[in-house]
Amino acid sequence: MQCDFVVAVWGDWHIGMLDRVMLPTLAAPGNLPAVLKEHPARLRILTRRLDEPAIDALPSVQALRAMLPVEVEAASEERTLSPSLHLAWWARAGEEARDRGAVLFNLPPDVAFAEGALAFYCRQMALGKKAALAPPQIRVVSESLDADFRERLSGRPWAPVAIGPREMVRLGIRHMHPLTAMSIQGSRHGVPNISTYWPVPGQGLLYSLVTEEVMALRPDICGVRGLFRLDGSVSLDEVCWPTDSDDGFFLSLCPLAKDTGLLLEDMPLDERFLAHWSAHPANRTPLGRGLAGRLARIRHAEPDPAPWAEAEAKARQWVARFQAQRDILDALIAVKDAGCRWGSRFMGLAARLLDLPALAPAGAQATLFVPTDRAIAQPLAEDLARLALPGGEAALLSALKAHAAPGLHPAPAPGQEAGFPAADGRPMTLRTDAAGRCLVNSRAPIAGSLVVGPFLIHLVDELLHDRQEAAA
Amino acid sequence: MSPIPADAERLLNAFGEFFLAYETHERAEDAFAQGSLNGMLLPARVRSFEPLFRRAAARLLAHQGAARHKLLLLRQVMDQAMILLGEPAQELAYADLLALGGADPGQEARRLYLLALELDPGCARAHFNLACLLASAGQTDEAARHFDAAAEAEAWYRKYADLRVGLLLDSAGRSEEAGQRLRRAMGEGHDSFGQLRNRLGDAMRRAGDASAALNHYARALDWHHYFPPEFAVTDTPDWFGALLDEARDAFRTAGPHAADPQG
Repeated sequence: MQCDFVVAVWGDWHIGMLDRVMLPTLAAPGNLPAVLKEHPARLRILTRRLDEPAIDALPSVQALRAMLPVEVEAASEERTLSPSLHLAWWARAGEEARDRGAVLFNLPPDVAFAEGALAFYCRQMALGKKAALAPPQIRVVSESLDADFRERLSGRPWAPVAIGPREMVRLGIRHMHPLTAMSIQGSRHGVPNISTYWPVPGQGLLYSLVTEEVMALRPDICGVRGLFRLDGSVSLDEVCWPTDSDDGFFLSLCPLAKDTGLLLEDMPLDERFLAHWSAHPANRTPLGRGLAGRLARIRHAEPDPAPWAEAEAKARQWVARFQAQRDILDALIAVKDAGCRWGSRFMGLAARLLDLPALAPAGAQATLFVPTDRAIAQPLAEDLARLALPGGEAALLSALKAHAAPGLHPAPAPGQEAGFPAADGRPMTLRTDAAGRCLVNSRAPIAGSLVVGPFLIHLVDELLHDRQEAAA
Repeated sequence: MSPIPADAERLLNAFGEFFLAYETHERAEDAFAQGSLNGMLLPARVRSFEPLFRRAAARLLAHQGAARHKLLLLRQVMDQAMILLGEPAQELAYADLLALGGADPGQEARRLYLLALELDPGCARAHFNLACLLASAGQTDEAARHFDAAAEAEAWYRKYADLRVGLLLDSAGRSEEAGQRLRRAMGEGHDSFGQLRNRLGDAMRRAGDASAALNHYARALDWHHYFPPEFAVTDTPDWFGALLDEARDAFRTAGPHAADPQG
């Protein structure tokens, strides 16, 4: 297996981290040297023209040249680069790797690899995995971790730094960045993120990732899109994702004060918050929803079964609720995009006030009947407004159940009728006339249908619940 | 504002803090400005400079207060994380960085905001951030007063002030007043409230405005992020340089008989 290790880097801070932290850990015996015994490889460092001489002169880069071919390439002549330009560089490097039949490895410049992580990834790719995700990780404060690494170098300009995974996890906890701390379940404040953690006292952290960060791929097989996410051409089982930090782990460095402006006071990262963030177009990927359930242990000790079992039980419940929330949010977004402004507003109300994951558990198939804007006259009638006001929760739940049915119930063929119970147990019918017009309960025309995750959504031009009963 | 300091000793201390802030601001100092800041010019020139100094110093103090304010939150976050992990907080490798805010960074932030307001009662950032601290301490009315003062001083803060006062009133059970403030906060085309939309929906629901509540719950699906203004850099990057230029001009034109700029 031919390996193309690619680093995209520019700017003093990132170059400093590359030189003092990333490359020393990459060059530790269990990483690059172990890989090079098995596989031919080259290291490509892509940068801007301005930084090319400085990178070329780095002690770490010069030392690595004794191990493998190292190419420092100016990928841009510009002085000021967009922060996401590395994605375009990675894409180009992927095409070049494909042309030479190599596997592409994108190595972030601002991480510290645990000993053995790179060899694990290469082994997995050589065994047939099509892609690999960045390992379980802890974000750490660069100011203090950099100082720790300077001490390890003891005044030498450069040396490989081998840190075993468990020691690296301990470092991760000692230098933990507040952005990671805010992503731990139980934290009072929150921050938008694509991962979350559960504390396992005395052992480490349990980790769940809700969208992938690609670290390696076979460019001849895998497609990528957006923020270098996989495009669905491979399944989760074909992707390497270390679920134990003993296999693969890194620390991601970040200045202490970075992104404090993202801090949301008294808004913890609960399953709905993370479901919403994971549904963002940049984060929404075919693998993300399933990936959340592949929990990874980040540990600094021999596993003590009891605390892990307890944390995993909590996490599995959380993941189930997260996945249900994600399905519901996807449905809500689809309804809004379909132009049902009022339907999406009432669904948003229900999502806020009712425990929808309990009503519609993850993956449970259901048919939803969502009123179009034609079904809800303006201004809002008093009985409908009351659903949104304090005291209206029971009526809201009742109305919701009248607009949902367990199972999938497509419109029957012309001239046919289908009957089934609604979520409130009352009988419901779908009848399609010879002209193909389908009515719900013999009165509400279906204006269109959508399939979103486990839901079949019929857009209906009339409300289905008993409004007099709800008003009472 | 009187050109004569009400409390010379405190103003002198403020000058000292101003210098420290100035040095950390990574801006090359002009010898002329340094000389003037050291108070080596004619009293008339100092007087002509004084209002500008007050504004500049107040803004820098507010910035420094915001840094302590951030440290307060970061400490809260890290203390809680270490408890969750069963790790001693003092083991945190960058405890010395977090300690930069002093024993009580919240108190220190408050002191700096108050000092900023003493120098310049129109310092919007100091008002807004002080209001945030007061709100956290449950001093609702006092917080609301400072939120409104921030909006009076700088229109940019208006929607955020209405938002925060509205949510405070809602928490205090004053739903109707909350609804009025929150309706005003919404105005035309504001999309800056991001993840707070669900809270806004809750408040409008309690205020009896079903349509507004429903609208907020649907808008909670949007992707806008709420950036807390207390930590946002709201000043233009050149505000400090512009003030210094203004100060230099004032020095150059102010002779011993120059008119007091405050009249």
